[in-house]
Amino acid sequence: MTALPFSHLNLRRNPFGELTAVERTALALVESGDALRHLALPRSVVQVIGEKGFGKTTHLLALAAHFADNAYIHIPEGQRAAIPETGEPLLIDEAQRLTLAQRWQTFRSDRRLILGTHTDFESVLRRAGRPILTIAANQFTNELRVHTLLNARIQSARRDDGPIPSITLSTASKLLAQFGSDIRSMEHSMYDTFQQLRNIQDV
Amino acid sequence: MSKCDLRIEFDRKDRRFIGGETVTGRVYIRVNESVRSSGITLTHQWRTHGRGNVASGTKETIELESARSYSPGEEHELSFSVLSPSHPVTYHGTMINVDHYVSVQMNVPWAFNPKAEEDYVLVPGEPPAHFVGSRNEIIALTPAAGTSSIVGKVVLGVIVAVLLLVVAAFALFLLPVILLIAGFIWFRRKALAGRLGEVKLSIPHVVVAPGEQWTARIQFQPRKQFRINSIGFTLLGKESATSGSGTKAKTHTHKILEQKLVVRANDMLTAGEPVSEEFTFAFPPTDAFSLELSDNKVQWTATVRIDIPAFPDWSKTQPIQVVPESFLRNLTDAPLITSADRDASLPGTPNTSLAPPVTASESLESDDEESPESVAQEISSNLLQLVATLNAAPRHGNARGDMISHAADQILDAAILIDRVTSLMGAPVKDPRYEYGKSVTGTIDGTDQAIQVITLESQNNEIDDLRRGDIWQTQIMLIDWDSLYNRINARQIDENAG
Repeated sequence: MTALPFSHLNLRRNPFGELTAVERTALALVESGDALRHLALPRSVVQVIGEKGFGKTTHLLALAAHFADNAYIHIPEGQRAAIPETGEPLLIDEAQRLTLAQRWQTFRSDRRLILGTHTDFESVLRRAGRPILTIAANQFTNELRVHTLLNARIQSARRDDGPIPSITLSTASKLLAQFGSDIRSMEHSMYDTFQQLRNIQDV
Repeated sequence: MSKCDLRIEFDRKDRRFIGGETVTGRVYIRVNESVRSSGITLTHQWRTHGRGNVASGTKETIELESARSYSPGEEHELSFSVLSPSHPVTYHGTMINVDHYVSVQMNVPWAFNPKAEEDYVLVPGEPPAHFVGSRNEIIALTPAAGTSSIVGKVVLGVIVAVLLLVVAAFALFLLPVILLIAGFIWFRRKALAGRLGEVKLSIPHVVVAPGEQWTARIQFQPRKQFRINSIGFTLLGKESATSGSGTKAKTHTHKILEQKLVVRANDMLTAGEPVSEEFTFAFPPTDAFSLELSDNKVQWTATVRIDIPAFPDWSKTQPIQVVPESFLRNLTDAPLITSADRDASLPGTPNTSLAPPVTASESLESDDEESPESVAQEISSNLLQLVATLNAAPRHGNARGDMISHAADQILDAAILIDRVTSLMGAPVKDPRYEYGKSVTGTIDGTDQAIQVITLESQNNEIDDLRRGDIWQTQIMLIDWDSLYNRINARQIDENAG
């Protein structure tokens, strides 16, 4: 007989499954203060740099939530994306995939920009006369942040009042040692753990 | 503390509803602070969760209560009813889950909206309205997306034309590589055809329900003498969930089930001697019905492979659509699971045409005293008469199937001219006595009528001694009519029971 999913853990789902953009934004643990202050400047640019899985997209989505008129574009690999003509600030995820013409046009425009990128555009943007703030996506990734992030994921899947499983600091520390700043790989690892979990317990 | 607390309760404690049924429940509201609401809305939707990107169905929204003010301490109760969809049904796998949700939200201007959400379990019921057609082809369960505009089609056409031109230009440079690959494929086909001749693979249907008997047949006439490692069949069910997009895209797969059956192993095939093998098995009981969403898929395939040592293998993979049994209702071209098939799984006594029908409780009582086959029954020897009547009935339509169904309660004496004996992979009838039995195919002696008899595991030694051309005397009960092979399906009766 089909039961309610993960009710044995007092959860509604595996907390480490994929989330929608809205859910991910709600759970983002991002220090946005400096970026928001910087974006108050005209023609300002914030670039979030980091490797795959470090949380660049999460940073961008968290910053986007502060601007009702923002425009967001993700450039898939091997594809050329059209840059939205309206909306500010303009958020470009995977900005290293902009074509040269798009870079020239976008970087020299007056629109405020938030870039998620593997490539550092600081010098190019400075030459274009842009005030720039560079944020490393993993700059605050430590044992405590991993512990908080993962437990927030579990909390968001809570079914009812009462106990739910939790991640210990020791596990957070081990995950950090194993995966570095790659939060996505940590989540994938925890997905498998929770798929096997039979009782409410510390993990 | 929020301005008010919302809670959803379904009218059924177990939260189980059948596809197409009305889902009913109540929303309880407890007000903590004065609040002005611009309305309370309820939404109803299915969503996936798991490793793949979240997919969801159409959101149905209804207004439960219009704008009004609430005072602290007030408690309200609102009833709701929504119509459940027929597809997709609730599924809890490893990488993919499908669940149905009812959410309620109080809309408070310029403030946080109190909300609540609960899931319920949707079990198979009514087939989707658009799930009609033939069981011989896969039918889309997810309705097609809206048609694109003419402008969109023109733009797409131009893009495709440009891409084709670019590919054509590159093809000139890549011509040697393309020719090499094409040559390899041609050589492989030619080499296989040179050994195997034309290989015919017959399958009964591709839309299948769990528990259903399924038979595939492979036939060919080797052109040369050669050795084979095996002729085998693999049934594979897997989940495939894709997360992210672009470089972040990652597809996670999980094998739900893999069953392999080898019907011939380490054998020498002789030139000119026809090879005809059958793979018969009961489709496994599963709730992993086929699911085809962009990033979340549950897929089933059947692969037949002729493994030839030091030579390319011949193989063919057929996608299979697994659906709940109730979804077969509006489909045509193949018999449904017959009642005789299902009854065979019960421990109750077989019913003869002369005896009055027994109820389930009666048959269970009789189990305490006697085995099913020991109950006094008139043994009928009218199989030849039945065959004559079958042959007189039209081949197409339900007439032959109905005749078999009417005679399904009789025990019949049978003399069968043996064609082949194969091992079963799971029992075509849900009776453990047959689970590891054999499948005997041939013709009813003195006629051209094909028959397949599944045999008791306890009789395996005797059955293994049978050879092509032997006449096998036994007692059988009919299961159903196989319209694809124009064949009677039957099961052996334990003559020594009781």
